[in-house]
Amino acid sequence: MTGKMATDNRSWQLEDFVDSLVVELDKTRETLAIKAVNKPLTYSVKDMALDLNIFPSYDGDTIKFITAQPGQQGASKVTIQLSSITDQQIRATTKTPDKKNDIKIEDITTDKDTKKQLRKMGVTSISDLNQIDSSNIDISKASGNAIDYSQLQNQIQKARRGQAPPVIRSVNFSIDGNKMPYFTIKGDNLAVHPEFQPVAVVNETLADILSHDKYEMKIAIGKQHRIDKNNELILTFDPFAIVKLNVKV
Amino acid sequence: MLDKAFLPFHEALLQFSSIGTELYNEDRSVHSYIYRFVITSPVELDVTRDENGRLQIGSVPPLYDVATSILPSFHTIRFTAELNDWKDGN
Repeated sequence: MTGKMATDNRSWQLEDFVDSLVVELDKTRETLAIKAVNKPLTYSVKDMALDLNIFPSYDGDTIKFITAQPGQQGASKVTIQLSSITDQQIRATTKTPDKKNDIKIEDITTDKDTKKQLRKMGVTSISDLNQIDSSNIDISKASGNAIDYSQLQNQIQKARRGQAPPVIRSVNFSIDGNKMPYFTIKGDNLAVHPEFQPVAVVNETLADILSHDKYEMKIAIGKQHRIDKNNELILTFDPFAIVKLNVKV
Repeated sequence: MLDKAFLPFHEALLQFSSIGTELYNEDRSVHSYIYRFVITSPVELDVTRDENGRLQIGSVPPLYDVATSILPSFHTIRFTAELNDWKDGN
């Protein structure tokens, strides 16, 4: 023992503290369960409560707490009570865990206030947002117009596209039966949005797209594209996926 | 990092709940079980963060029993422990 009293307590958010407390309680239960294998008469911790002497502080965004340090008077008291609940109660009161390909609100590029508003509403992932949408709730109105829903939708699409970005595997220069040259771009996740018409620019000149899908795109080439040894090809598959290539012919 | 004087919270809880379950009095041929107990104790807490930023809760019963001019802040822990598979005290 160092004999030192706890004088370097860190401030915390209630959620973090409860998370750590639950982890600690789970560890206790796990150890007791292992002990019970060899020693049938063992105890299980059923309910636990902690009365904490704490000082709250508000930084304009979140409320944080710090446990009172030696000699500090006038602390607030907060009681955290953890009760045993059944599996059935857990299922009834707990949100379905996030799906594997779900996107967390904190991972999308949007302003801090929007994220804060969504969090207040209990929206932490895109699937939460979809659920609200399917219930016909106008999230903009519900938030007192603090959330720009169309801007948010754009950011969600951007984040989704970030999970499945376009991958170019090859670019071929060919000439068809009518002696018309064209580029064939092959890859994955190319033109995946049916509502967006891809755009191609070859050597700073717009080019016609002959066909496009998720795996392949064909671009017509004309004299105006001034095909040379090195060519710049810019492909806009949708507003969130733009690719710039240097194509050698 | 947790102060060495403190135990990780789960270890403190385990030590609190490590009491004998059976009581014998061979002279009187009495054999008793403690099937439930409730502990309420003052504790000192050390709340720090580990290298991953996760909150670590350290706890220890009061370290000293000497009254000093500056006393630690005593929080209170209360918990119930029950003998496994014990139904209604039978």
